Amino acid sequence: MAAVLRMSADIIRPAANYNDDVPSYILHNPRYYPHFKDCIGAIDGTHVKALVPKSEQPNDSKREGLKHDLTKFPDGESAGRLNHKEIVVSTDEMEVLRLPLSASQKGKLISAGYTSIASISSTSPSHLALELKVSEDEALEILKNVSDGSRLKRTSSSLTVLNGAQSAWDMLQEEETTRVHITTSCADLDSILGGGISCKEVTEIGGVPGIGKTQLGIQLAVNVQIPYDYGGVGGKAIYIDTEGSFMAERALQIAEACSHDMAEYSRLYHKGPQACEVKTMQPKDFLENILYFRVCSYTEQIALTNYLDEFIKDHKDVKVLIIDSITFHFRQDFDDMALRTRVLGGIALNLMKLARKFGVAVVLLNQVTTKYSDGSFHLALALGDSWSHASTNRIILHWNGDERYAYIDKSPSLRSASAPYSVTPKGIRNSSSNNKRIKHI
Amino acid sequence: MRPENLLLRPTPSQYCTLGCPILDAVLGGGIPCNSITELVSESGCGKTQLSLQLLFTAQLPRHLNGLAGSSLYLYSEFPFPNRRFNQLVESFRSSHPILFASYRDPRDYIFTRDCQTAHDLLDVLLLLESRLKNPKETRLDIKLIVIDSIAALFRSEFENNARDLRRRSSLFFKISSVLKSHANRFGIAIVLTNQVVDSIDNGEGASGVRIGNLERLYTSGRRVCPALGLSWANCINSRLFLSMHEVIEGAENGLPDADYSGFVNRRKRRELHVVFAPHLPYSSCEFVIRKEGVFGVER
Repeated sequence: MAAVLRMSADIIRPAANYNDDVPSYILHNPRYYPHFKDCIGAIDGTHVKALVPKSEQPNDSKREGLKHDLTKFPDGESAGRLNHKEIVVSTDEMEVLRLPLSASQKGKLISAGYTSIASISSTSPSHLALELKVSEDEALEILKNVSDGSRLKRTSSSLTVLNGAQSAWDMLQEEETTRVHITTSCADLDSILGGGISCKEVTEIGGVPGIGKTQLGIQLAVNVQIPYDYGGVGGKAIYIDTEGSFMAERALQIAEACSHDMAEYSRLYHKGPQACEVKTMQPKDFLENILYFRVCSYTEQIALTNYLDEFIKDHKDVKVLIIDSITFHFRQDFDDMALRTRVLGGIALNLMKLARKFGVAVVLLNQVTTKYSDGSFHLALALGDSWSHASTNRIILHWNGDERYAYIDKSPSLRSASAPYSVTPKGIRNSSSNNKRIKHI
Repeated sequence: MRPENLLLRPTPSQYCTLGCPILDAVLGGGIPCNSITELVSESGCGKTQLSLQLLFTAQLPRHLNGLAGSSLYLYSEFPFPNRRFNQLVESFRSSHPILFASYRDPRDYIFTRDCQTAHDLLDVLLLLESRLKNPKETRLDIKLIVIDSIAALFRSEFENNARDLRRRSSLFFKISSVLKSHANRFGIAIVLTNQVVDSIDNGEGASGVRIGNLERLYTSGRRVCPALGLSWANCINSRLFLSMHEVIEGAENGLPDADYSGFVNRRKRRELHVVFAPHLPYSSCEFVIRKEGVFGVER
């Protein structure tokens, strides 16, 4: 953990195509490693003038494999045979070698500086003939072979592109079979959410202090564990607590109520031999399946978010990730606000990837702040406008008179609606008022 | 990084008793450790009384629901309430004669320090961290920190313009973050006292936002709201509101008795309300301040 923290400064720096590690392509290829371990990139098919001072030129540098004579330079300078260690070569060089050409043709191409297919196919036959010192017919033939070879490559690569992509129809089929929701235990809230908090998506829930955000978080952490037989998803929960609001006794209380409800359900609906097979969960079991992390600073939060990918890989049954709250550590003074925006953007990206990759529901609890516009104050979620793109769905919890309401502020698939809910000793439940109604806006 | 095992956590979490079973029942056991609890009320309601009482009850051993540790009292409003403090020492010693025999003075386990500004507070907390990490003396096993009051720390250096308010707001989060970090590492219960400001009843504006179980907070017949605003409310874990109302004894129906002698018995009725807490439902109870301390009143 300490090592991760120390490395966090490197991890959180925005990676602009620059990495400190040796790329695996170089690492695993004995031709390139350890010679190119400090290489930061590859140049494709570009002439690079490489000169070695006479004093350092080795006398004889014959080596097996690729042997090329870089005697040709734009200004005609000769550098003799150069040891391949001192030159940056394109990794696409191998491309030319794979073409169905004769060895001499390949040699001529490489010594003329044509190392990639792209560079060859962009020249005209006459130009190529001049460069390679071959007849135009031969140049034409070479070009034809190149384009054949590259077409094959292109089609195979385009096939792979197609293979990676999905048609929307396939996606719909997949969604209909695997879309799952985690119930919130409040029927009204579930109905405006289309069944509950959906897995594979990032949902942000914000509200004033005391409205019930932590309560909803704990309820979801308990409800995700409801087994399939009771209409749940039967998974585990990761609860990241940044504020210290999570109270284990409250979680136990909610778990007891859930366990009690499950027993009631079982009594009514599971009859006969089925009843014995159905699993009963004790409140203690619920607590065991909540993987609780407490973070005390924003660096810890970032390090943990980065670590989650590996963690969830090892704990495949995690179905919900709750962060309570995502904002707290970021509202301190950041000397560089641009850094804060970048860091938050990185976190948002990570969380979205986690949601898609592992099919977990990511629930982010957020605070509210006041925004002054048009001469009046109104409430807005903290972290600014750039953060508002981080979540797929956004729910705002607010007071309406003496009742708590949840309002869908942003969602690509749900219509704007608001529903009342209440916080009871058993957890989140339906509002008990008589004139409750779901309002569609 | 490994997840914490929730079952290993001290469940029930450690709570620091308030010294009265009725008040403890309202608070679900007392002031929780590893959490920030705020007492908000107008002046003269009993915040300081309650916080002084906590300094003593924190020293009680575990089987009496204390935290078995020392307390730290950071005060920002002069003067330190010496007279009342000594009164409480006496009453505490007499009520627990075995525990606080003559050789063990409860005063030895209470540390006090004055803080003038928010930066003072941050410095003290930093110093505290280094002391708590290497406890050379066992007496410095601090389990309760009381800050009385947090609002006074922010009074002087912030003007009422957008830039200063933003700066003040980020200072809230910084202080809260440091306090919570200490609370988590060392298992400390943190109690802060806050003041109230009058709230103009127009429902608009930032101060019209409802926070917590009570739509409006009333004390002494005025509508009030806690100082330091919405950002500060996001920094604490629980908020308790103490209110005060004048009640005329013997005149429930508003009219004086037939043999009205010209004197009425007025008394102040004090109540404790839970505004928000992650582990408590809304509840309230009446309490009184006596010589021996603050005690709840049975309904």
